[in-house]
Amino acid sequence: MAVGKEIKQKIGSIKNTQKITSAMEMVAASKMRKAQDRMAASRPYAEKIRAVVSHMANATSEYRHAYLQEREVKRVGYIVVTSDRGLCGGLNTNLLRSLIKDMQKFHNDKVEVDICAIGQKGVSFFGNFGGNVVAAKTQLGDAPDASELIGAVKVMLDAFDNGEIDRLYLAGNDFVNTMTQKPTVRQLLPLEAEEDEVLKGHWDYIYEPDAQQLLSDMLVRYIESQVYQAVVENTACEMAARMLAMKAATDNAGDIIKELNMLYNKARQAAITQEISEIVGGAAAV
Amino acid sequence: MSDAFQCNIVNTEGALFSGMVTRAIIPGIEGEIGVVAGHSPLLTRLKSGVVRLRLAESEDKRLEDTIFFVAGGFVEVVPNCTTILADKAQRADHIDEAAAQAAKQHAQQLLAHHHQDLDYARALAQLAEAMARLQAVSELRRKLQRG
Repeated sequence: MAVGKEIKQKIGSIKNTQKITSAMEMVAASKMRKAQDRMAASRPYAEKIRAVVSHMANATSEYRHAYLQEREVKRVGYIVVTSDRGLCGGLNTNLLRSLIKDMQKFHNDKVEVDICAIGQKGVSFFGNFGGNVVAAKTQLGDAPDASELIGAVKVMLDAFDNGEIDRLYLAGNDFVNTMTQKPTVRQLLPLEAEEDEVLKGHWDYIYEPDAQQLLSDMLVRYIESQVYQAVVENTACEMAARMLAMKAATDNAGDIIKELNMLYNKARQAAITQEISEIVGGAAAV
Repeated sequence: MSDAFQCNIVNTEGALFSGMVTRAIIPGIEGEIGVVAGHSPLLTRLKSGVVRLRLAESEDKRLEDTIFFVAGGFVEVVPNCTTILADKAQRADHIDEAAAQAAKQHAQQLLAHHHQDLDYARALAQLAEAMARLQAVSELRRKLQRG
């Protein structure tokens, strides 16, 4: 009986898809745990160096580093952290959408924008959308290595040193919890001094050895650590978002299979009913 | 206790120590620095060496120090808080002595047999790092023998 053969096939194919999505869900869940551990491990360093640098911005030093000085904004730089792979829900789309809104403001003020894209999705987005991508880094993998990022970050820092860009922003996803990832854009350079009650007034560090070299090393390290932290955090976000997206896909596949089964059974019953009525009709005619 | 201050040691792989201490001895690039409460604000680089912390809440009347190995990074001293941002850091009791010994010998060999393509500065840094690790271990051992 060839009734509902197409439906049967369709059910089979959706079942296969469901197997794939549920496997991806489990893989993402286990990777997320590792990514979260990595994020937690490097967070203390990122936080402490941020605290130190914000103290530094409060110090009234004879020597003001270029990274601490506001300049007139003619051109800005963005370091955009996205994932390498897709199938992670609206993670990259949300980030890029909020970023475009930000960039639009600069565009209206006739300020040009340079982009350093970290992650394949960002690179291909700005390839299509059009944007001045000056540096790119892709294929960082699940356990990104800080040394791989240095090159891309250095391009932006050099641009800042040479006065090609006057501000530097960092865009990436913040890991709030497994269910929520928040796209954020933070200003990296020039540094914004935070108000600190304890450190108010005139004071300065004793610098060993000389202030200039020490400050630049420190600030470069600070930027690198912030970018690294953003990448690690974005990886955790990617895994969490993928896990959720794949869970939703698996659930949807289940729903569709249920509906198709219903349809198949109805078709089968209709065929049987028709056959019986044909037999009965035939018998009556004899 | 007014003579205690906050001290944090972090490296890129996590926080090693966070707590109140009464004295910290830190290997700065221009010599060892002893920090007590009320030290002037200071910013300097670290070199490979040993950090000794005297914990505030320790009931240890023999005034023993807690020992850490550090290599490379920065130190910031502000009133009431000292932060050590190390490139590499380890508690002395977590150091693998045999591995440190092997690293030291390896570095010494590299330096002894001069190759043209030898990265001299890097080999020296490795040697200094291994020596600092061993120093931390030996200090820890002395401390345990005393106690």
